[in-house]
Amino acid sequence: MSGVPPLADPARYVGDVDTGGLRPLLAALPVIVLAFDAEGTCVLSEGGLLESFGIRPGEDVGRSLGMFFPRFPAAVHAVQRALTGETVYSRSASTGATLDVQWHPQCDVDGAVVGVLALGTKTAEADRYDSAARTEQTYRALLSAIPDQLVRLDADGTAVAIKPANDGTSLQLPVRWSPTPLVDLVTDDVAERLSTAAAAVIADQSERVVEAVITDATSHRYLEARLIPEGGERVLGFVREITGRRRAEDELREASKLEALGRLSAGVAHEINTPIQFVAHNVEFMRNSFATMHELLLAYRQALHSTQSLPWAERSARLQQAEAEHDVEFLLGEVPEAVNDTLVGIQRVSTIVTALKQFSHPSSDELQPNDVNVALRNAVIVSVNEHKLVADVAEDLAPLPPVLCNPGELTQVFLNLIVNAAQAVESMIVERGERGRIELSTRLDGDHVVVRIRDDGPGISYADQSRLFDAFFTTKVVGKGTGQGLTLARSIIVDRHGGTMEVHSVPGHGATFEVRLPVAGASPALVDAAAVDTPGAP
Amino acid sequence: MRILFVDDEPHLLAGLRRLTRASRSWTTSFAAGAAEALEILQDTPVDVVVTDMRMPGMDGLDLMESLIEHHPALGRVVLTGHVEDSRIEQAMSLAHVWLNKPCTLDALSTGITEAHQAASLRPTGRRSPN
Repeated sequence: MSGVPPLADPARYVGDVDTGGLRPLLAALPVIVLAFDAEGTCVLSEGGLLESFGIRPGEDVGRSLGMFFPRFPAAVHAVQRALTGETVYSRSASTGATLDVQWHPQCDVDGAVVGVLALGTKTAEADRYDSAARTEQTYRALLSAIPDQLVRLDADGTAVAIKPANDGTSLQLPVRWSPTPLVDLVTDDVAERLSTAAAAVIADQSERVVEAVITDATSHRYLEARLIPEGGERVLGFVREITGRRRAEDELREASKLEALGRLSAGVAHEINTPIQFVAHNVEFMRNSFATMHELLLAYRQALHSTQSLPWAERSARLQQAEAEHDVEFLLGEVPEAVNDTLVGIQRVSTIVTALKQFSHPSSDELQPNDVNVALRNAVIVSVNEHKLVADVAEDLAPLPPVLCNPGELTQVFLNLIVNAAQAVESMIVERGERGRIELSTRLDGDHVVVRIRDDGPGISYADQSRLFDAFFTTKVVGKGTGQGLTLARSIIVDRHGGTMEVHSVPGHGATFEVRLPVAGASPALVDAAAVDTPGAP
Repeated sequence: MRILFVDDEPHLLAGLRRLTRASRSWTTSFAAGAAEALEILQDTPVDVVVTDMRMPGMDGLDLMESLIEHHPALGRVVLTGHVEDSRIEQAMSLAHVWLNKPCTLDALSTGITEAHQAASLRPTGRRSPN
């Protein structure tokens, strides 16, 4: 029921105050005021807005609903419904201007409907699509158009469902229609991360994205909750399953690693073939040397066991001659060298094969404690053929604690940065007439490991720096780069390891890429809790 | 036969030096790069040059172009670990014999003899396509 006081006889009421000036007052307001009695006869028709609908004040008084109909098509239905005790909202746009009318039933002291009072106002432009009559319908339509599960999170750590996910098979939070503590819905660590993120959203009123892995006996599935401030102490959560996306991302990372391996394979083959060649030469030399030594040994045995009664001087002379013939001094000097060179060659092949194996080992989701220095060195080793002719590589690696990481993925990132650095210095080698320099350093900085890869190439223009990590942005010629390397590298560092990646470059003075990795790694339950840009934010 | 080996890998030259010392048919010399090889050729008589492809500064292709111009009678053998290179197709047409690392001493020896013969028959010519 409306809060408007009953007007058992509005005409008389207006008449009573007419002399006091209510009619001129109504005429001055941008409204239409209509009143009808229980039979639907118009008893009042006033207001400043009537004129714009071509109606004179008081003109319709005494007319029945049927007479009224042509001017206000919505009126008949609205009055009839209001006479049943319902408050009705209507809208008419017949003459260009749009009129919103509220039709309030008027009751006597016993609650019987005795008339209808209508108040019409011009609809504001911004309000046009948001009238009271439409809001709920629009709201429902919007909700059903959102495929995600929608929940509302409260500062007290409870969640209540607004709607389940449209697709009944996708992963979502358990649907509860009354506020339920998060810890009753999901595992403690996921609940903890969700409520922490929700609290942060409430605190600074900016959006956050939380990713969580939901593990059961047979599978890992991934959930993304996009948390939007709803105002006050409440947060709207759009929850969707992203297992498919995560799998695709994993496959892309793996494919990109294999692609990098493929591109390097020619250079890697050279780095393996050359040591094998000199190992083979040395082993062949040792085989020949052993045969020579064997002949010499036979000569010694003969001298030792000879039954002829030769004087010692004669025996000694024969042996000296045999030694000279067999080049013994050369062999004594060279065989140990040949053994050493063989070991060097085997070590070289083994180093590169080990680095390749560690690099190509399929990534697992689990981050493991590993030495970032080893991941960096592996990148230097597998890319040796890319940089050895164009740059001196200086390593300044500090002892580091084990970092929770995926070493193959980190090698992929470092490899990308080292190959970029090599290409940068190579572009200047003719002009400069000498090799460039690539400096690698690692440092422990509090609870982060900092890896810097610096080159003294031409540097990066400020315009390019701002687009460096954009997908498909490249300054390389076709065939040298696809513009995806740094985008993927940043995704590995930021999304997978919870780290950061930056570039510092003054054009003309080389470039430094800095990777910062948290020693503790990114939490497995919360892969990404970074604040994301909200529309309109700078 | 007098052979000059050119490679930027010192261990490779050391291995060849040891292995070929006992040879009665070969006289060998060694250069760590193309520039050094051209210097040696100034005052050392050589029949066949065996060179790596990818080396700092002048590479194997540059060396062979210089050999064709200044020492056309020399046999040219490429011994490379590279399986692909933008310059390889070009280099293949300049070499008498192309060998991939790793190869045996026998294969190397056969290749050197073939290159020597090819250079003697067609002193300025390039390897005919076959």
